[in-house]
Amino acid sequence: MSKYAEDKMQEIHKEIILRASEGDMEAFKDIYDRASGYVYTIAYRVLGAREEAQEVTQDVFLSVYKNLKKFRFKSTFKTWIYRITTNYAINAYRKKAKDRARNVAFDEKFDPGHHGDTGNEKFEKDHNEAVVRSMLEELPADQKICLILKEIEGMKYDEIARTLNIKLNTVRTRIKRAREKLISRYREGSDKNEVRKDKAIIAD
Amino acid sequence: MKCEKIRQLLLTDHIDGEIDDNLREEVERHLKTCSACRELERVLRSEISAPLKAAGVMSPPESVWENITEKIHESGKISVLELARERLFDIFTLKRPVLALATVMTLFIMVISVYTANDLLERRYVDNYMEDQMDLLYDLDNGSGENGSLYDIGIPLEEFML
Repeated sequence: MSKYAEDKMQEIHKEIILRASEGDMEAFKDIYDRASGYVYTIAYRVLGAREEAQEVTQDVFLSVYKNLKKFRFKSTFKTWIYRITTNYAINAYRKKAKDRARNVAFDEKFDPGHHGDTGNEKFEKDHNEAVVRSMLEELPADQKICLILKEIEGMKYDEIARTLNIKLNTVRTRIKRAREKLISRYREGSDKNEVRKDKAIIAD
Repeated sequence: MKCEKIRQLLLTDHIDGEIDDNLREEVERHLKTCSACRELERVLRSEISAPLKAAGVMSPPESVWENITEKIHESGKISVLELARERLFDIFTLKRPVLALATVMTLFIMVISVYTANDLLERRYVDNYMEDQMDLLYDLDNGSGENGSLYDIGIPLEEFML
């Protein structure tokens, strides 16, 4: 995790942005340190594969570097980076839609890199990771991105609407549909477990 | 409020903390008396929202930054050539008003130059003519010069007149 790790991405100071736009690599590295975790997380959650998420992160920051001079501060810098990220992530997701099932199946086991975790903590994290991945795999891209921005990136509805350039009610509808789908999936899973338990009791 | 309306609010504004105080109180009152809606809220919070929130923010590996800087340096080398190409392109693809102004200025300078050149030629012709006439009068006066043989009557002009 970067030195700037927070629950939500913080706004980046205008002076840093202006310096980076003049080619100051130290300022650009500062932007990268503050934003890359959030960019990478979105890409990883949308694509479900680390290598693809790394490629998207790379493309996002190259695009940011190239277009810094064109940034006019009409929106917040944070919204701008999120917008670039969601565009790249969704495009990559759609482009690789045909291969996605294969990529997910062959993607490496999740390794969050917390080497200090005890066995129990690691088990819990791995379990949570498996749950999150299987939940997000269920959702279409437009619902998935809204849910990720809401739940993982901690955005408000109006921030999501500005980032994705959609209406606030569309954000609400997509989040609602995503959750409905996940609840019905959860209930189906619970019902299957109940049946298994019943069968086990009968067999005993 | 009916269960269906509560359900809609639970799925979005209530669980996401975007509900106003009055509605929130109403939802909470309903939850105290309705077990089905309470169960929905439990599932939403603990089975759907909690795992996603716990997933948190991750960090990309160091190699991503290394690749980015490498690509930026590569593009920097290319961009010197590209810059030259773009400058040339800019010269030949000036915007229409700029091109029109430049054309008008060029034509104006050309007309002025031609007019000035004609004037100079004319003035030089007049100067040469005047110079010739002065030479002729001088020669007549002195009775010498290259045309002397034509006008020479053997004596100076004053003596002849006397």
